[in-house]
Order: sequence, then structure tokens, then C-alpha cells
Amino acid sequence: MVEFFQQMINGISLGSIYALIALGYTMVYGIIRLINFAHGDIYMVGAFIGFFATTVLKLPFFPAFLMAMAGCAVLGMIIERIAYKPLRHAPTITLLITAIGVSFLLEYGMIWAMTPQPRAYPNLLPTYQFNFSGLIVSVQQLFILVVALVLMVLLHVLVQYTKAGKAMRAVSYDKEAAALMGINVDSVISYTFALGSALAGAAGLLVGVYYNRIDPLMGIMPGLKAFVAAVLGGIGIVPGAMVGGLLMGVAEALVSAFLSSTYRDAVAFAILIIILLIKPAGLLGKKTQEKV
Amino acid sequence: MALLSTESLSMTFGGLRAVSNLSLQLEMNDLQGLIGPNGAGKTTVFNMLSGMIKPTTGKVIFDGEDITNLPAHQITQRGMARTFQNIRLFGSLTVLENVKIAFHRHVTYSFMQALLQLNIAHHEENITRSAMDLLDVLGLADRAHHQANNLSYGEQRLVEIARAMATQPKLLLLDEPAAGMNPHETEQLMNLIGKIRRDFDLSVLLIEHDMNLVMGICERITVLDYGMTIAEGSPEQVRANPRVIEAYLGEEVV
Repeated sequence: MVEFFQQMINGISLGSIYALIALGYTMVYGIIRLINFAHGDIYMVGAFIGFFATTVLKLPFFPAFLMAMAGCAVLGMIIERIAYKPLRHAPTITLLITAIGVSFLLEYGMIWAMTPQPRAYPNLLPTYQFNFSGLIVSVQQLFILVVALVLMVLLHVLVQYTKAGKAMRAVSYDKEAAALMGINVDSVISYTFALGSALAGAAGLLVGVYYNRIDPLMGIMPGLKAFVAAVLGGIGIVPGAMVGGLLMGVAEALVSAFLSSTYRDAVAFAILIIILLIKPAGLLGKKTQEKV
Repeated sequence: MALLSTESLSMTFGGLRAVSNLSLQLEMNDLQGLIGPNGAGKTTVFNMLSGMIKPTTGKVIFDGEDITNLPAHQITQRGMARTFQNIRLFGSLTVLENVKIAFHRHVTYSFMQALLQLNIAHHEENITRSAMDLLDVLGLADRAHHQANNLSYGEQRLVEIARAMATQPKLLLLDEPAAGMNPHETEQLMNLIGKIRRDFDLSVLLIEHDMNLVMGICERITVLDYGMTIAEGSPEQVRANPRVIEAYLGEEVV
């Protein structure tokens, strides 16, 4: 029983990272109907920005954290401006392929710049562990959980209660009608990319701290899993991404503990297949028909 | 000076001339009608005026400024608002939220302000109050917290008007506001359009199929057929014009 709860805790802290990445997928999808496959690589860049902030600039955790978020926000906006904006009226598949191209560019650009060698992440947080009668919770896990929760609450407030959030929801509903309400659609899209990418950057740094190891291709697998998480919760739905991310993390932890860790990656895709078969709109999604 | 004028405005879709050489003049405080049979190009005119599509040739002058190539949101910010023939509300939001979104143009916020939400509560309160006032004028106050999708067709049209009004326009473009309304609702709408024009001191350009509505409230009417202007003038002049009768009204109407 202790083992089960232990795995739940591990799963939730991993899952909150997936949730942070999944939020970016889902927000971008919600607003321009694009699965931004470069999103996992933005997360990787966030981890590297954090790495440089702490090793080269010798910054402590929080400044480094903010820098990773800000750096990724800018990167997300630049990618949108250069790669996606010119394709605003192109077919979806063109955008999708462009996103894969951007993904490769970031991955191999980073390998070119940094070599493919994994790097050891500095220890930014205390490594102390709490022991609750056999249940071990590390400070890092708590930290990840708290930071992820705070970010998610902030995002929720932003989307639900601010003018910018309302503009985002209006744009995701009907771009043209939103423009005719005086909303600058281009800047709302840009803002959405900035937000989503900042969350990915935060996740990147947290993972670096958690696993102590980063490399230029580290974004591929978490990127795909976060995508599955977004689909699981219902793509385009912000709370869905949070729920999906947590479920994915827990499923992965439980499977690797009680079945075999060989299946830890497979479980993500099994979930994807099952959800597409049973409830393609996702757990929180409503059945909709694509408008023609 | 005219509030809105177009100079030989044309729109071609492939080989089809949807609108050719349109010259509209709309003075301050005018209530003008734009009529014509189905496919005459009326909605295309609205799309060009509001910046949703760019005209193939010609110019749109609004309030003394050439707005032909401005993006839609900037045209809205300069004081032109429109409604849609096929209702395009933000259906999953409430009526109040729909209207509040349109108040965006009066609240300038920077990226950081939005992020930090400086004095958010104060702003929100003001916007909510103005939005409720507008809904009150349109008789929708009791619907404020309903989801827009759940309203009747006629009510949704009114919400579209409220939403357009919230951008505080000088010129309101109404695309078939009476479509789907019963005669009673249409009559109320006529009164309402007259009332908001007076109370808010604005000009209205109206596309409409309902002849009673157009003839009843418009001071000037422009008639389009196959993208060409075939008649222009007062309701009486238009009604008597043989080309209009032939193209549009049909003999039994006259």
C-alpha cells in the first residue's frame, strides 16, 4: 500500500510537468488549430536556458526560473511570427509539417550549438527528503508540485478573468468576429504562444532539476506524452490539459512500478489509442462536428 | 463631409464580379438601406467595408481616412461595427461576456498590465456596468447570464447588435437584422434601430430583405443587382424605379 502511494506521489509530480507542457499544446491548438510539434523542443530550450542561467551566470533558482520562462516566451513568439504567421490561411497540414520542421530545427540546432552530450544539471534545490512512515517525498517533488500548481492557477485566472483571456477565448471561437470587435487577432495569437512557451520553459527547468540531466533531444518524448495528455483531457480545453497531464504521470509511474519500466513509454501511446477509440473528444471534451 | 464613401469599389472572385464600381455615400446620422436580390453582392460590400476582405480595386473612405487596406480590428477601432447575416456570437460564452469582449477597444492594456492585472477589479466593474446598460437598452438585461447559444434566434440577433454597439461605433453595419424574426419582433427591431440611432448618435447602413423594414425606416436606399448599382434614392423613388421592380421587387409587390 505504501508502495502504491509512493508511486502516486512520483506520478503526480511527473504528471504536473506533463500538464505544464500539455497546456501549451492545448492553448495553441485552441487558438489556431495547430498541433505545435515544436512545443516539446521549446521545453528543451527552457531547460538549457535554465542551465546557462545557473552555471554561466551563477543565478539562483528563481531568477533562473524566470529567465527560462521569459526566454521561452520570446522564442515561442519568434517561432510563431516567422514560421506560422505567414501560413495563417494555408491548409492545416502545411502548418503541421512546418511545426515538425521547426521541431527538427530546434533539436539539431541545439546539437550543433551544444554537442549532443548530456549535461549534468546543477543542484538548485535542497535534496532533503521527508519520510512519512515509509512514504518518501523529496523537497524537489514538493517544489515541482507547488510551482506547477501556482502556474496553473495563474493561467486559469488569466484565461477566465482577464481581458486578455477573454480576447483569447473570443479568438479561439471565431477569429473574424473577434477582429470585428476590435481585438487584434495577431497579437492575441502571439500572446498565446508566449504564455504556452513560458509554461514549457518552466517545465524544462523543473525537469532539469528533477532528473539532473539534460540533452538536446530531451524534448521529444515528454513532448509527445504531453501531447497525449492534451488529447486525453480534450485538446483545446485548458483544465483538460491539467487533468490529462496528471493522469498520464500517474499512469506512467504505476505502470513502471507494478508492470515493468519497459512499458513506461508504451503506456502513453496505449492511452492515446484507447482514448481515440472510445472518447476522441477527450475526457472533458464535448462531441463537436467540424464546421465546414 | 460624408462619414463613409466608397470610390469605384469592386470585388472579383475568380471570374465572378461580385461587386463592380460601387459608389456609396453615407452622411453623418444617415440611415441607409442596401437591398438587392440574393447574390447581388450586399454581404460582399459589408465584408469589404469592415476589412474582412480586401477589394480588388477601389477605395473606402471612412471619417476622412482611407481605410481600404487596414486590418479589420483597426477599422473597428476607428468606429465601424457590424453584425452578421449568419449569427456569429461567441456561442459558448454568456451574453454579458460577449458584450464585454467588444468593450476591448476602450481599454488599452499593455502585455505586462494584462499579465499583472493592475487594477483589474476596477476595470471589470466599469466594463460590466457599461455592458449591462447596453443590454438594458436592447431589452436583454434578464438574459445577461445565459449562454449565447441558448437564446432564441431573434434574441441572438439583438445580442449581435449589442456587441457591435459595445465597440462604440460611429457607423453600424447591420446585415439582415430581421432575418428569422416574426412580424412582431421585426416591428420592435425597427423601433429599436431608430432609437439607438438617436440615442447613440450614429449612422446605420442596413442590408435587409424585409421590405417593410427597409421602406419603413430608411431615408435612402441603394439597390444592387449582380454587383451593379441599379438604383439609388428615397424609398419612394426606389419603389417607383422600373429597373428595381424588374430586378427585385417583382410586380406583385408594387
